[in-house]
Amino acid sequence: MQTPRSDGRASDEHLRALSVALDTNSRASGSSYVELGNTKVSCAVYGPRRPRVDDLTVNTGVIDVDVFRVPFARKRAIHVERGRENEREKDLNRSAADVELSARIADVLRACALTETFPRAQVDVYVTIMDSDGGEVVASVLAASAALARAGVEMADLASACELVRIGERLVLDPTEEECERGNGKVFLAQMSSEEGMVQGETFGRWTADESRRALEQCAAGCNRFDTIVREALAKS
Amino acid sequence: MGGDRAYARDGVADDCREDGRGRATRRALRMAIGVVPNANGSCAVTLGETSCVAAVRCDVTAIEAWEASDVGAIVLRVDASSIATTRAGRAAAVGETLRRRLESVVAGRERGVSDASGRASGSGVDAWDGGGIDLRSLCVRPGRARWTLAVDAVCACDRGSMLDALSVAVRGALADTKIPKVSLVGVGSDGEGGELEIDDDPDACTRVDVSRCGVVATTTKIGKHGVVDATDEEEACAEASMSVGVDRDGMVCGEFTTGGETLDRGTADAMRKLSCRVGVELIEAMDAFLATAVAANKIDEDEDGRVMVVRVRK
Repeated sequence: MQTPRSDGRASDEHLRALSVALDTNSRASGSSYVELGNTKVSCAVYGPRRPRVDDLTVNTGVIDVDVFRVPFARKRAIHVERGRENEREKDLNRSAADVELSARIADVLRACALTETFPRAQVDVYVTIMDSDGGEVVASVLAASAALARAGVEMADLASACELVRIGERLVLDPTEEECERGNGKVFLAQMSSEEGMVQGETFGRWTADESRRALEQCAAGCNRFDTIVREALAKS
Repeated sequence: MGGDRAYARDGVADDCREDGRGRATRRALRMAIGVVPNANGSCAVTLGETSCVAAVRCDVTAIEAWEASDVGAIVLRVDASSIATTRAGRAAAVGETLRRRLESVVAGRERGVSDASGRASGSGVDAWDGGGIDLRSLCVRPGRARWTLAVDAVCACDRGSMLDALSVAVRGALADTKIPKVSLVGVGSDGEGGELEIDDDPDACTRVDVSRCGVVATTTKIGKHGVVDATDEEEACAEASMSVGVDRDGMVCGEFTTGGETLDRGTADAMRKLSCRVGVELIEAMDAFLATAVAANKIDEDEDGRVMVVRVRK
């Protein structure tokens, strides 16, 4: 007998409802709006355009990602930590965590997009996190890859992502913020679902090698289910 | 595929890399503890040409009413300046990535759950899984005062496998850390008031227990094979890489993968296995050194005892 989860889901393997809307922004080359439970992310892709000189690469295109977080999507105000009060991080909406999140999403997109198809050009991806209740990285990856596809950027495959949290002995898929806080281990996986190629994986906490492998497998199954939903939305549009 | 890539691939396939190492051989690791005089603990590490320094400073800080009352804190900061790293991307993002990973592997704190709130360190003791450092050992007086260990790690030169070197440096610095003895004097009969007296006599100091802290071993996939401790040239030719934090019991305490189409889960399992094996070897060598070096450091006479060199095994 499995304990139902705090948000009413019956099983640890259940994902939250994912809804994907495309072309939500009339000015962008491609755009999307993704809701994963209470987590809401909007993404707009602009370009291709001529890159700045210092970003110019010869054989491949550039994908630049910026993640913004609306102030009310934050749970608490950020405290300025010791030694972290430098210029770039003074702006409360651009914490180091968000800059890192941008870099992570950029890594995923660069692995999936065929950047050699638009050499000497740049595509800008703007991700806006509008509400956050766990899984904001998952929602951001799904939104960005859908928007990139809508913008007509050639990709090896769509990127899909999923998270998992270990609470005691339970492995809970697609956790809410509250479940994340109770957990003592967390796995994030971004993959290309048609090939099951791991694009980015992060495991935190203490695991045996077997447990860690099993958690990744469960995440991969979650990725596949999200991937199907995004694919359906793209096919319909 | 460029010529350099083909060259690196062929070398790896023949189990003879550019610098003559086999696939599962580390570069020479050199570490020294007690290198920063005004820190409570410090460690400098060079791994081939990659080098970094970590230092720990201990401060007694007040426990605020809203914080957990019986635990200390560890604040980790990683400085990845653009001089030190050749990696593409903004230095702030690189530093933040390294920080999160180190915090998980070495300090056992970051659970990957802090991204919404900016920082969630110090919390989650109920959910502590026994890895890293027991923060309860850093409590000075429940509800009033605690030790805050400020750990600063600085990348000096990134010639590949920076995270591996940093993890050794941070773990070494924590093992070297001498926490002064604190006693409470002048407490009133009602249990209130009183002052903390800090005694920094080296003989009276306590040590941080790092036996559950991990180190990182990165396996890089070049062609069909995984290699450990890649140089920056090899990293540039890599198709995928997996950094695995391993503790002394061989438990995985953090795993960070970047890959792509060609990285299936079977390959990932093989890379994890290799990383775990190499990580456990590294931690054993490190602990053997720390056991003697920390003792030598106490009486502060034997310079040589504080430096470890692990030579390349051919």
